[in-house]
Amino acid sequence: MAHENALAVRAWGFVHSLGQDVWKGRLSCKSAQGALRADTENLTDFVPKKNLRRMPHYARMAALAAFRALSMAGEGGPLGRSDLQDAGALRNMAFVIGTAYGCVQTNLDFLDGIIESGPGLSSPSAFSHAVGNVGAGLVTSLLGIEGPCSTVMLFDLSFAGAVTAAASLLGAGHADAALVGAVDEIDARFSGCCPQILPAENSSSESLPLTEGAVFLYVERAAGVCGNLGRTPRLSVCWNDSGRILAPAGAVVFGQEREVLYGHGPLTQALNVLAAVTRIGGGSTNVFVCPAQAGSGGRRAVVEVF
Amino acid sequence: MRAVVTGTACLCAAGDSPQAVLRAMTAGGVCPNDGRTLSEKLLPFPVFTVPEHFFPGGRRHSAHDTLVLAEAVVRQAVLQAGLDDDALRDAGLVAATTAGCSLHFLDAYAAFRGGADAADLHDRDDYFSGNLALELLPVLGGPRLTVSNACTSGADAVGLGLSLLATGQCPLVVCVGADALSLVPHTGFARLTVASPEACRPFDRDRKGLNLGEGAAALVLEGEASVHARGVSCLGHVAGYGAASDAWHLTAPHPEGRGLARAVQLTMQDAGCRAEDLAFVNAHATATRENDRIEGSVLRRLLPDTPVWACKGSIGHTLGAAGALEAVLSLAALNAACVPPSQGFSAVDPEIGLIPTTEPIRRGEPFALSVSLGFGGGNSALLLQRGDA
Repeated sequence: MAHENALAVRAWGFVHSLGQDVWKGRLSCKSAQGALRADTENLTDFVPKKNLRRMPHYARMAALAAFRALSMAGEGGPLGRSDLQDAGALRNMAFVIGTAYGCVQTNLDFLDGIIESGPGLSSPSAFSHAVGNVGAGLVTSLLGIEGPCSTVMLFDLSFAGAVTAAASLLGAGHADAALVGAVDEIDARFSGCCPQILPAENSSSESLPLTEGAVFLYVERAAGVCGNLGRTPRLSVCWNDSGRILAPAGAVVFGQEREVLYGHGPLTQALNVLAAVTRIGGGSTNVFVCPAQAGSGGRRAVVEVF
Repeated sequence: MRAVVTGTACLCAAGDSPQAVLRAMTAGGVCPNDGRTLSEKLLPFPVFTVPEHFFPGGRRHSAHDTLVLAEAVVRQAVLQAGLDDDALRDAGLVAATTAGCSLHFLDAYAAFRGGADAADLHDRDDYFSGNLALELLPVLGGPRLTVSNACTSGADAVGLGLSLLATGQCPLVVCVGADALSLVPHTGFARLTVASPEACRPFDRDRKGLNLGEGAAALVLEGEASVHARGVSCLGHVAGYGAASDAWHLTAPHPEGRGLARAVQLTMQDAGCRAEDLAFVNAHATATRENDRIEGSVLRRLLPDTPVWACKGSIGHTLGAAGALEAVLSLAALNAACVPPSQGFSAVDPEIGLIPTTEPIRRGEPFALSVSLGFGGGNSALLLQRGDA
């Protein structure tokens, strides 16, 4: 894979319905039926509770993961605390979210309103909180990020798409750094009706519980980072529809089979990348490749972590 | 970096080609309708619709309708650019939509609530095809992105396409913005009290809100080397892009237009363009009270001598398509050296003090700026350059 547009991962944060040790153990899929919700209580460590009023769960997950990544970047990472406080670093920071389905709960709340009460009595607030970029809009306001902001929606390729968009914005000079990640939530109404979220027939993940969460990485252009990157994890995305996984010899493949750790849902690629990032950050010398595919034509993208 | 535009296409209520739309705008008289072809339940706020024959087999009131519009313009733009399957093999695709991504499954959801089996719903392809970037141009092998940034989506798709080229991730990129109308977004804007009960009047003193519209537009962008190697015509350039967030409020623009001003300045800097090089600014100008007041004050402050063209009075607010559609129309107006009138405007709002074009004006400057603002506090600007400049 070409690495001209590789991103250096300087910090990360996440929240997941299976907790902060999501990838450490094997999920007991037979005993954990149904849907599992992520706990965002700790968001008040970063923001006064009053500022979170009316913020939907989807955006809370995104905000918590983003705050954790920024906090890690500020604690011995590339950003000093003062950088975050005087907003200088935030002015040239991009924010890119990948999401398969967006803010599902408020979306369905709005549709419920139309169906139950008619268009004239539906909730305007539910509508404004149902647009595709509601998470990006609310989180950039909360964090004070003033750079370019994008939401990429590509089903299970949403994270790969977000990383591609972030690499493009950084490489073209539109931002100095980016928070890039993925967020998706579950809702019983949606998982009941939406064909996209049903596990494919004969899928090994058929009996896995639905899970949700958010992953954010604080990234800079690897080529632009001053000094020796050492074992700083780096990311690169390769898009290909050939059906082959492009992996260097000896690379470790983190694929869809790792859903048995995370549960079923569109976050698998982002979680696989995060697992690889933390391994490299912990001293692993392996190269990891994290493939995913989506769409009726089986489009593919591989995120390589090295 | 600037990209060469080798193919453009558009489809909206005012026409099915850039030239046809500009002619209709210049002639005036493109009017919104009551939207009854969309739904009997539509609230009484008029819309600009694409003629029904552009939906073969009829509308399906799902994300599929958006895909149909997008396919139509992508086909035309790729044809104009002279691209065959081989040329598309390494190309990228950036698509933009708002409602097309997440708001178009009311019928399926209502059926589910009524007891329909999920397996039956699974047979419908409308939801898989709802993702434009994953479904359009199957032959294409480069990066595929679907951007859903509310009303800046179309401009951001073009800006990200330019960035993909600038970073060498693909030799050419197809950028498309599309949104078909349906009951869901129409209801949403009406309930937010930003929809007008009559034809919209951008920048006008008595404006009452926006009219939604629907449509699609596509641009093929290439680097100079690719254009030279293929020997194709240059229709113009995308010469700059800038984006900035307000970091302020989900639905209201920053009171001083902080993000918009920054997006405009970044875009001009990106291309080294001066105000006197601009033929016109294509304003977002939705005709809502707040958008026009703040956008107008920013444009008056930053570009006081540049003509402003507000085109949503002729095509409505086409949401995810808007930024791409208005970029295509701006490029066509640049190449014609003529800026169309801004339909709907008649009285100056003293709070804004801005008079958009009221009749066709000749302008020979090489650049035009097209700006977009969106829910979520996004602001984006594109700099377009005439083909012969």
